[in-house]
Formats: sequence, C-alpha cells, structure tokens
Amino acid sequence: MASAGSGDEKAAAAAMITLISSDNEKFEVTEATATLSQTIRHMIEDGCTDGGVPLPNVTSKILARVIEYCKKHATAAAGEEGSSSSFSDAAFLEVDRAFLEELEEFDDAFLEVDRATLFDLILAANYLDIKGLLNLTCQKVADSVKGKTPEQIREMYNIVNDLTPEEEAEIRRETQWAFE
Amino acid sequence: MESPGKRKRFNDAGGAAGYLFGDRDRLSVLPDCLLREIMSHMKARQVVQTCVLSRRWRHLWRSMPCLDVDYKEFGATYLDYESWEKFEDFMDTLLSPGNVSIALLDTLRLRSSWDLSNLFAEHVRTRCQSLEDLELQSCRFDFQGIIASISLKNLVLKGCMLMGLSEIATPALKNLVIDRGSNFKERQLVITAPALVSVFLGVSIAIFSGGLSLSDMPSLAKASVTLCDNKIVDRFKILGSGVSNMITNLEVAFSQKMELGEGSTVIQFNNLRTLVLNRCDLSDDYQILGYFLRNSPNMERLTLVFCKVYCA
Repeated sequence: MASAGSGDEKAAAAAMITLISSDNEKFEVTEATATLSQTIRHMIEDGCTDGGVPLPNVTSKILARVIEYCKKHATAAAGEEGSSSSFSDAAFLEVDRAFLEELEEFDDAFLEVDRATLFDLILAANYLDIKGLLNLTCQKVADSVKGKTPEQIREMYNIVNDLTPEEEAEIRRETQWAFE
Repeated sequence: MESPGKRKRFNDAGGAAGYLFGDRDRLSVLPDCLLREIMSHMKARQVVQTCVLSRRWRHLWRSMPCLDVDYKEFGATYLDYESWEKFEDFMDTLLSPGNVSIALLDTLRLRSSWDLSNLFAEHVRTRCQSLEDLELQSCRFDFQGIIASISLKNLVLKGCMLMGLSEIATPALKNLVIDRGSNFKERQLVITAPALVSVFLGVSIAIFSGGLSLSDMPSLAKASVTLCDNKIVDRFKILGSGVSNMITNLEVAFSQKMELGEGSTVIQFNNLRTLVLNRCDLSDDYQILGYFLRNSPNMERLTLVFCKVYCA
C-alpha cells in the first residue's frame, strides 16, 4: 500500500516542474507548459529536474512572461493533437480558425511591452530554445524597422556608427545594388 | 548577458560606453546569431542595407541562414518595367558569388511574379547545398525547367505559373505543397520525391491541364487534395491515376452542379480516408457522392458542408 501510494505521488509530482529564476523566485508549471522549451525538455528527458530547474539567465519578471506565453501555446498544441488536424477538413477548419484568431490576439497583446522587455524575451527564448516565442519576438523587431533607412534604424535603436565616412562610402559603393 | 567582447569594443570606441551601461543600444548587445535571426524576418534588400549601420553589422548579411526576396520591396508591378529590372538585378547580384553565401542558406523564400531564369535553378541545384526550405510565390517558370536539389526537405509553390517546369527531382523531400497556380501546357510535371511524407495539392485542374506524374513514395502518410472543379472524374483522369490512388484526404469545393463527366472510366480512390464536400451542389440525385462511396473502399469519414441537395 505504502509503496503504491508513494508511486502515485511521484507520478503526480513528475507532471509538475519547478522553474527557478535568477532572483530565486520559484514557478510551478505543468510538464506540458515547460516542454515548449526544448532546453527544459532535454533536462526532463535526462532526469535533471528534481529539486527544480535553475535558470540563472532569466529574471522572475521575464520568466513570468515566458510562462504566460508557454501556457497559452501549450493549450494550443494540445488542441492540435486532439483534433484530426486534417487541413482539408472544412468542419475542423472553422474551429481551428477561431482558435488561431484567439491565439493571434493573445500574441499581439503579449508583444505590447517596452523595448527592454522585448529584448530580454528574445534572449530568454533563445536560451530556453522556444522557437515560437523567438520567431514572434524577432518578427516584432523586424517589423519595427520595416521600410526604414539605415539612418532611421540607427536613430531608433541608438546604434553608434563607428565607421569612418570613407569606410561607409566604400561599403555603400560595394553594395550599391541594394540601395538603388 | 552582454558578452565581454562587446564591452571591450564599446570601450575602444570611446565615449560610446554610456550606451552600453545606459542599456540604450539593446540591439547590438545581442549575439550575431540572434541579429541574424531578426534579419531573417526582414526582406532581403533591407537585410543587405544593414551593412552600413556600424562595423559590427558590415558582414552579417553575407552569412544569412534565411532569405526572403520579395518584389514588393521594390515597388514593382506588372507595368512598372524599371522596378522589375531593379528587382532582377538585385536578385542576380545577391545570389552571385562573393555576395551572400548561398551555400549557408537553409531557407529561401522568393516572391517574384516574373520569369525565373535558368540561372536560379542552377543556383539551387549546384550551390545551395544546405537549402532545406524553398518557397516560391507567384513565380513563373518560363523555361524547360527543373527544380533539383539533394538537400531540399520542404518545397512550397504558391500561385506559381508552372508551364515551363517539367521536373521536380528532390530525393530528400519530405513535404510538398502546390497551392493554386497553373500549368496550361500539355506537358506533364514529373515529380521524383521518393522520401515524401506529405503532399498538398490545391489546384483547379481546368488550369492544370498537364497533369502530374509521381514516383513511388513508400513513406507517404498524407496526401491532401483540394479541388475546385465540377467534372470530377474527367479531372482525375487529367491528374493521373497515380494521384487518385495516393490521396488520403480530399476536399472538393465547387458551388455549381457536380457532374460525373464524360466516359465511364472508373477512378479508384484506394487510400481515401476523409472526404469533404464543401459548398457543393449535389442535386444530381447524389450520383457524384455515390461514385465516391463506391470507389473509396477505405473511407472513414465523410463531411458535407453547406451542400445543396435536391428537394422535390
């Protein structure tokens, strides 16, 4: 009896993972949420998650946002597996479409952050290897410079131009075909 | 997570260190691989233009894993020949040796709506040794063309005019999508992709009259076809019997009255699992539906969406 009981407990505990931010805050998440991160997925596969997963590169502020993203998208991934996911099936397509729209709205709202947070999210997504989040945040930065000249981009992101005027002129000559 | 190298460079630049500690140049704090990740979401012309931002950016564009070349970035339209020339020159220069290292490319998206030259096919065949994803949108193949690549895993042809394309030879290809597009010529498109796992064809066969010839695909798990045609049987004769026997998921979307078409040839759908008739007119006394049910021995699910049926 006792051994069976502890086995059950172990199974229940295994479904939850504790993530520990750089400032020592603990976050309990389901395995489905955590494994959106390939980095954590590999740790779970290797059985290295007992006692929590320390994430020394991610602050609690950023980790909370990352978990918010993973929770939402883990539900989405589960939904996909549940449905037939047949893209030629119109009846399911209607359901998928409504769900995708909701997900898109979530993503848009999620990206309403200041620039510092956005870059911290990019670094965290890269470190945790969450492809969807990395794509989303990089797309946001790319969109912000769309149609802008190099001068405008420099100004926008405070990029210090350390090229001498002669060097810049030379580079522009070499790549004239991209500026015409 | 600023790298020490970064810090040093800023200190060397003198006076610029304030930007780092004031957290202002957030972009340059990112490692090269992440800057390229961001650039992968930009269009190709702007990617090249980043070379003048600062010393750090000078050569980043040369080793991109992903390029998105889009004629819209040049404001090109059908009638604006000058913009077209600019776009073509840009593309030719970009892919020619000494500029972008196309040997490093794993993803290439190209939206052109202009003839693709033989040169492009040659680049893909011989120099893009790591290319895994190729997406061509609105491109025209106006030559006796072949898409051949030993590395390609995913190929998407969206709204392309394929009349000049005669062969797709891709031994490693896993996913193939031919979405819309046309092939008016009578010449068959020969597809040799023995490792294919999934294929999607969304075509109107009336404008895809050359049909398809497919090699054996032992790994094929899913073949989805969406048709916008009413003379179903005739259309499948054009596509070829290889196609009808391969299909696992079929959706027919057509608002006019369905017809069996001429001739009494029976087309078999031996692999068909799911059939969706979407906004179809079935007031032919269910003949077409009966035809599918009779000739699809493995059908598991039938879905009718907003179909018109006969009411006396």
